[in-house]
Amino acid sequence: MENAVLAKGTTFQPAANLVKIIEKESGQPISRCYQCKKCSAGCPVAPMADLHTNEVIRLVQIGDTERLLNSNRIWLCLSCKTCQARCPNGIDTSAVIDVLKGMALEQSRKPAEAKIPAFYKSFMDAVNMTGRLYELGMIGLYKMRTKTYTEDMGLGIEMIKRGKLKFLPEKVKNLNQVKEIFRKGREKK
Amino acid sequence: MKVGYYPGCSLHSTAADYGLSTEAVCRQMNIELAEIPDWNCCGATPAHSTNEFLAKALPLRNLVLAEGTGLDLVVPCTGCYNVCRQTHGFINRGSAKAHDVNGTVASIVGKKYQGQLKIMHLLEFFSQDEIMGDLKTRVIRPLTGLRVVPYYGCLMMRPAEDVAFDDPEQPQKLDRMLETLGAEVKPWSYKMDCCGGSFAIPKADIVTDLTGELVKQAKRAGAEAMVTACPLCQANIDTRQANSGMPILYFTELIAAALGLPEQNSWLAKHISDPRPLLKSHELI
Repeated sequence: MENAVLAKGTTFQPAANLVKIIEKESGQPISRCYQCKKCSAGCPVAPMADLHTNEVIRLVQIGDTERLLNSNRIWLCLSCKTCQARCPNGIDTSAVIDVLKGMALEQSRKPAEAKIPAFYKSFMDAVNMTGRLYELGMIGLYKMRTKTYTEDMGLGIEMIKRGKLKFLPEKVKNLNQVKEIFRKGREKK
Repeated sequence: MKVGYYPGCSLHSTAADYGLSTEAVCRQMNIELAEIPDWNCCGATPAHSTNEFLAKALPLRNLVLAEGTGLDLVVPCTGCYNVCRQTHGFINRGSAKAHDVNGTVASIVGKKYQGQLKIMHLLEFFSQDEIMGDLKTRVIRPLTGLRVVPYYGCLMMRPAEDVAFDDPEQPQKLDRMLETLGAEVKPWSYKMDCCGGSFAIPKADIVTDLTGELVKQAKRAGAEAMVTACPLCQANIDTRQANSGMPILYFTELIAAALGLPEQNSWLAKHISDPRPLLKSHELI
């Protein structure tokens, strides 16, 4: 059958439980979607993403895990929640996409937009170290992960000159509490 | 008046201008900001994008600490505000997951979150009748003739069930604030559009595209400056549209200008796109 979502020659094993799993994990009523596409009309990254917002929901419904987890769309979601605000069926697609990002990370898939999860990981690692975001530390970790050493160097210097990036980190006093929260986070996810 | 205050990481660094102007304005208006003791990072977008538990547990520690002070909580950073309110809503909806996270955080921090905290965005706090009334009487340099567009961004009003203190698509609170200060507020259709948020570092090209459109539309609306209440919106426009001739100010910086505060240079000098020539041309500084 011709279908805008299913590209020609695409084969997939529909995962019968995908919609149930993701509805449970995200708390979103995915089955209600009737493809009105209001979500896609308002999406700021629609021009850059390989799937439209409504297509994400459709692919979850039909259980096409492969296309979802390999798409750049899951990483390009900005969580601006415009789709959530406009959905007549009360679906927050960014919450659905958060679950998909978690699945992709868990399965150690090569992300279609590698820099974005590298940034998230560097951010979280930096917070784990001091309890508050130490920007220069986070940027260092990110640059090592992505080998983008010279990118935005000039801008960084301008920020440092203006006291907007600090050399010394601020530390939470009860840092053990934050570290323990992170430890539980690794256990639970 | 005394309120709890959660500045978040940005106001101590990339949004130091927002932090300094907020503190100065509150001092002037006899509002005491009591910083939450030993607060931590809220986790922001990287937490909810990678780990559901951390996305709730990190802000929850702050909410427990804030609730312990017995004060209402004011949050100037829109990202932090959004995360705090979403966590507050999540706990109060009482799912099994919510009980689990609350119990786990209590076992680490020593106390459960009771869900009683009143959490306000700084703009929401300033928009209360009593404070707006007081503000009005204190304006000594009205921003007459300064043409601005209010830029709310995504996270201040969405998702509506948890955060909206104003309409999620057509909010007015920042418009009213700027009118109260005497500015000429220009209508435009982009007050809720996304700046590119957390892609500031990993996908700067997208941020440049999105902020470029925002600046273009602000100019088309006839504005000389954009006004925001979000550190990420400000940073993205200030850094990625630095040469557009469109400065982006925090609303607290304009309150400070209207109140005629003397120390404005200390925060205005931190912008990449310097707003001082514009403010000088209107004899505001």
